[in-house]
Amino acid sequence: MKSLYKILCLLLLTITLFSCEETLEVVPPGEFSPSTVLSNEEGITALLYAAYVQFQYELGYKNVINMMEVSTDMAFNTGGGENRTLSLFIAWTWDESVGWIANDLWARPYRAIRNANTLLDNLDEAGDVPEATKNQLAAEARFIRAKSYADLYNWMGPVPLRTSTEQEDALPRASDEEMLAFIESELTASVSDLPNPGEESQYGRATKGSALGILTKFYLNTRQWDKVVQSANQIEALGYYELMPDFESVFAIGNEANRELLLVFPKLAEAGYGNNFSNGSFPPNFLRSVTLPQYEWTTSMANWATQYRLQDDFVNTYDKENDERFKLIIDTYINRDGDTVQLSTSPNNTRCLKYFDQNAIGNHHGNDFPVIRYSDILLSWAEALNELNGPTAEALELVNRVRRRAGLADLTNAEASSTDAFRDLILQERGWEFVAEGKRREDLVRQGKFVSLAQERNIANADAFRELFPIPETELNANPMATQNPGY
Amino acid sequence: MTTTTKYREKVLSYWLFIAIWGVCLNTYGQNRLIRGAVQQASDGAPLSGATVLIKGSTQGTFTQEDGRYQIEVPSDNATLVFKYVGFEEQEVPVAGRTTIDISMIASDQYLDEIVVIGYGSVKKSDLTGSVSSLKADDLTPGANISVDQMLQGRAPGVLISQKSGEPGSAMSVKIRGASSISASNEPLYVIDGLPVNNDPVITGTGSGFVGSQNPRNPLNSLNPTDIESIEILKDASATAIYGARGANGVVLITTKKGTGGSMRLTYDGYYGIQSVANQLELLNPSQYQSTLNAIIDEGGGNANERVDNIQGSGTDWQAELYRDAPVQSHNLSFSGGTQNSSYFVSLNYFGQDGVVDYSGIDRYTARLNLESRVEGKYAFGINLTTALLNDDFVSNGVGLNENGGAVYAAINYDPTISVFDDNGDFNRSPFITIDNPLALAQGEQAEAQTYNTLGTIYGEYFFLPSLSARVKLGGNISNSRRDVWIDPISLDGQQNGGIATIITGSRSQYLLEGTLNYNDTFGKHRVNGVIGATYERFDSENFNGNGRGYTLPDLQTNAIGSGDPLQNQIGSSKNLTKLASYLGRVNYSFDEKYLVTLSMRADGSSRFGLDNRFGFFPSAAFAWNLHNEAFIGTDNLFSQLKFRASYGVIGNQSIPNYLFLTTFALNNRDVVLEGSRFTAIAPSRAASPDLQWEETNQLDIGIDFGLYNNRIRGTVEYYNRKTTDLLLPVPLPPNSGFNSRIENIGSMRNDGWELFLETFLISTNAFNWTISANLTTINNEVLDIGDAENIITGNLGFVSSASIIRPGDPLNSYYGYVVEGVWQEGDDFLATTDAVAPGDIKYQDLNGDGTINADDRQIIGKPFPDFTWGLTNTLTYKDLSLTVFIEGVHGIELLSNNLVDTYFPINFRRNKIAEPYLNRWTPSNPTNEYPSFVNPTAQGQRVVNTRTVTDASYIRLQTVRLAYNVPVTNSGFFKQLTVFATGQNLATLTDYIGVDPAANALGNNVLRIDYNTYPFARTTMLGLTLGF
Repeated sequence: MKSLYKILCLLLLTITLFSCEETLEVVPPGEFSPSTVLSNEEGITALLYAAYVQFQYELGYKNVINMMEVSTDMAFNTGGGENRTLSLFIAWTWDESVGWIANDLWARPYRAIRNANTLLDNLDEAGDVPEATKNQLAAEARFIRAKSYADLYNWMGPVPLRTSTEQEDALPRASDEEMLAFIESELTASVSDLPNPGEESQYGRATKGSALGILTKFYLNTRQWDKVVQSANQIEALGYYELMPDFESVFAIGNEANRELLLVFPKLAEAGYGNNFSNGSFPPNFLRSVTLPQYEWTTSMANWATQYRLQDDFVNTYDKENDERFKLIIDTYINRDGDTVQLSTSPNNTRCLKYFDQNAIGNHHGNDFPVIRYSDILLSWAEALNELNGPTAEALELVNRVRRRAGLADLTNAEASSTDAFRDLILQERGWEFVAEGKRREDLVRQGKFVSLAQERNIANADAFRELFPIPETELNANPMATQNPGY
Repeated sequence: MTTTTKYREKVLSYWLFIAIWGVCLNTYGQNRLIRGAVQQASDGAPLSGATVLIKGSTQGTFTQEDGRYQIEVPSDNATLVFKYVGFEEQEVPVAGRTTIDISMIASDQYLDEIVVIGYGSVKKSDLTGSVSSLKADDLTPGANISVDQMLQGRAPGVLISQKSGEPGSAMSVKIRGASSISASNEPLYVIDGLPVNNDPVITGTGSGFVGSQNPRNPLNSLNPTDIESIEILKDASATAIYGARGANGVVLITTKKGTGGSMRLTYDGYYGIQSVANQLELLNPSQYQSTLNAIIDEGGGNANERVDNIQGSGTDWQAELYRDAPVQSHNLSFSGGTQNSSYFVSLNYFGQDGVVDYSGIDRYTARLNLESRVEGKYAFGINLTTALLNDDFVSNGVGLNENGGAVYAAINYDPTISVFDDNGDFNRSPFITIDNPLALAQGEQAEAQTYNTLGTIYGEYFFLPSLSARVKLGGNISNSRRDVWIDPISLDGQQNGGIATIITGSRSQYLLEGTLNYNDTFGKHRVNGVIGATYERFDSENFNGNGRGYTLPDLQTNAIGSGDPLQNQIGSSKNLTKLASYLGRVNYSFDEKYLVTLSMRADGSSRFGLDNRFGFFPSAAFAWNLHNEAFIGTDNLFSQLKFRASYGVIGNQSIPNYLFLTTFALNNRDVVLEGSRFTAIAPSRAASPDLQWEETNQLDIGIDFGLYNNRIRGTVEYYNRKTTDLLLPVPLPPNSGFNSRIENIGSMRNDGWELFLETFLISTNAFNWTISANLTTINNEVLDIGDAENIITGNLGFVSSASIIRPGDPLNSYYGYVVEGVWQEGDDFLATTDAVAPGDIKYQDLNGDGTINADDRQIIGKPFPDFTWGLTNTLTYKDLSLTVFIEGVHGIELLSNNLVDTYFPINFRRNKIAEPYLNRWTPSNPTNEYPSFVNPTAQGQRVVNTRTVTDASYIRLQTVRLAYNVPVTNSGFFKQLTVFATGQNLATLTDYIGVDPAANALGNNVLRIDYNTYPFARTTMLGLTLGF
């Protein structure tokens, strides 16, 4: 018994002695310490990648495209869970409680900004990284941040301008001037340290072309016409970009990294990494389209309950005979039972099949989402020239380059008879060119037609304040300094 | 003698030793041998295991099985003390005799009952805290894999409900409401003194598999038949000794121990059949055809979605998927011992097939409990159990559309098509993107195998009879592997070329505990104290890998690497937590009248930053045994009357690890560049360096009473728990890039009444009728959530923002739109700018601005009941007994997401819940109850409304058990033979439209959403108990 007694005493003593605070020190075994990540090029690059992940929208870009198109004269939607949200955009009854606004239009870009800010705040401390590399990493982070702010400004107007992780949680919205100045100076500054297009270390990372492309679109949407011309000229001076000869192939999986693309969100035919737009574009029981028989649905592909449809009034403006771009619009298709189905027997029921990958796996097609294409630069340039000088031959030629590629005849001076007439023609051209690329809302807003066209569609709630989306309630509830856009 | 009494006796023996310690040194003289027998006064039956002690010494013995004993006494002047739990203690002077036979008289058993409390035990009459004590016999009978099912409705203040019928899935267990918004609201389970880490061994369901969000029940590995008693500690006085883990109550589980005497062998077994208690009432094929076509005729749907014909007689997909399924349990136990040691060994098999095809659970357990003890000198014991669990899962989660599970598909699939097409392949509707329900059930396979070993070893040494040191070592180790295979016979499997996933996990915890125990009596003063220190360590790790694209899919997960190498994905995680604590408690009683308990625990946890690592949790309680006062005790009205009150602070630390640290972690998705994926690393969280515990301040006032010699007894109790420093995910402005940061902000209160009443209504020799009833009221109110105006949360499926957390209202109240009725022809449509037509739902325009939007939301229900009750009737006639148990839950709402899908169909051709469609609005049926469903999404996502959030009160006939004790005592072979028949979940009275009003598809137990609920089983079974 003596020995048991001793053992017990010893154990008691052990417990009493060692139950002190040092034993509670724990190093998280499954997480990286800041010093590991932030001291070397590999760690900082991985952090930059995390900014790109948010920037590339993972699987959420279809939501952005749809919100920007069903609220306009272009697209329509029925069915599926997505319709519960998209019906609000069709009826112009979206409000600050809409989850997609909170997540896809707000939280997502701000996560990209956070990751970029984390990198920029800590780059100076990273002693092991060569200066040139640092400059390029910083330029990419600044580019991602500026593009995210340009989007936010486009959707909500001036927003809280978070430029460092050190700022207080509550942050007021910046002024219009601060916002404009920040986006412009950051994009301009990033251009010099970004690589030339084609020279980037990995396709999908930012180049001079990406930054200038975003800058051009930012100038365009803020109606700074002469700066549009300037930056378009800078893009031209890169001597890299050109239109693909064949419209359909711009989006084809085999032509990724083609010279028409200034910025893409890369996607893969892999679970969790795909372009999932087609799943909604496929009509029920779809097998293949009549105009593009090579696009044949296989059993390895999904087909969603929600239906991404186009409005008849938009589709009917196409030159259906000649416009190569119309091939990507499905009206008649063969279904899996071998029947031919015509979609346009129901109103607003045709589809756009821009993103099709024959080797898709489930939901996931490998087609990259184009963000800025060279044709967008050409049309933006033309639009700016028209606003500055009217329908000059130079401006017309820019538009006609896009039309010729689509198989259409050149616009004549007779058609583009005035600045106003040419503006309308450019807008129409942009619709045909960029359907299913999520640009319609900003194009209409810029030309002052977003609200008026909705009113023409007899939408009772089409009020002028809806040119801007609301600040989401998640922000308003948590940020006492944030103010809502008027009208909401 | 039962195992219970043996245990109680040991505890009581301590008291005795204390009493005699003061004189024990003076007792040596000439020895003499005394012999005798101890019997019950009532029937003369021998009492084995009674304690015989020499007064004033530490020497003593136990009676043998025949009641006989012998003991050496130092002198003729010695006095013997006879003790046996449940009987009056007797002191008998030897007075020169050599034979002393004793008849013992039964005492008031109820008040002498020993109740286990944290780090010790007390007589029920000495309790100062709120403790519900349940012995094995008090538990709800039935086919139960886990012990919490058996506690359902049994104890006031303890709300236990089944959330899903899936075999082995976790129950919702809430003690006195919910104390936390984001930390766990689950009680702490302590099994044989080991506080058990309940985290799931495996997280994740496997790629492509839609598993239930509801976790596996961590108590599945404990064989309920091994349980001796369960104590539920509810107030701060009882729980503060568990400090930072006590805020949600503590459930102490004590397993059986051997009893002295020869080996006893017991077999328990039952076999039963389960059937689906209730399935959703959907449109049948002809209703589906006529209703959908009528809606098309009225301008809804699409012309090409018309239902042309019914293949054969159509298909009831639920009936195809559901089945009657067997459940059985077989249990063998051996127990016995000698004077100083005892053993209990058991083996158990439990097998339950699910009422949905391809689901079920199997369990094998073994237990060994050993104890060796020399009274007043030392004790040593070991409790060890090991279990193997085999889970078989059918996809029944909340995945949507193409990612839906089998149950979801069965609810939504087109009823007019046959199961198989003409080629014998699974038939697939061209209008519905969900897979065929049976293809999902058969093609999506998931199985898990879990090994769990839980054990404690303790040694105790008595320095003095009143003072002992005790050391305990404990461990709980689980290893689990889950294999998931999505076969190409399902659409998902076809698209991906088969998907194989293997997830493995291990979780272990170790306990080292030392306590010093002191018990002594000085005249009318009795003191009992414990101080101690514990150290606990929790490790967990996970690995998962999945592959796709199998050209030869035959080997499934056995050759997970044989798919497309580019699509392989792997991941892992590892976690470590430590907890170091000091604890102490003093019980003091004066003259059996006034009782005081003081306790405290200091807990240090690695989950918190250096400055806040230790939390201090004190409590105090006072009780007054009024029945021992002369002014009460003179007549026989009160056999017990005790007033008690307690107050204390307890904590909650059930949050993820490392929240106080700024770190980086692997981003959940890679970046895609250059046509490949690359690893991304992102900030893990918005760190909260000052994080500390949640603190719950709890007040408890109660009266325990027994009337007419305990013919009626009960408890009335009021509780008030206020939790402060809530571990709240404070919403951060999303412009920070983070959604939230866990901070100690805000407070919440739960208060209510608990009532327990038991009456022995009729008590004769042949016939007995006992009624036991309990009632609980819950009033939950969020008091403060810091700067945020409110927190809107609650996402499932396509429903988001279903609930609100707002000061002044119950936690997670449903937040949505009030449906006023249906727009009728002739209504003033100019009153609204929304695109509505006759037959559309008319929502209440709260702010009268002519449009329905987010500003028109209000609270439309709460997830806490107003009150709950349980009622048990036990009737016995001679050897026959009948037990009927009914429970009720009242004043609670539930959001049905299946009703949401009915009101706002994802697509037109999906099947729907019948009632609203069969009675829908038409021009000739201008009802205000149901809309026309012609244009159900015209007004957007107003899916959380008073048509989908409905009353979910219910009264349930939970169990009926009829048992017959075959009189075999004289046969010589059996000692006991009991046969019984039990019915479980026999009937439910409710207005709720759905599978069950208690259903919840969320892992969370406070927010409740019913979606694709695995149907609940109705079970009838036969069983027997055989004792040898």
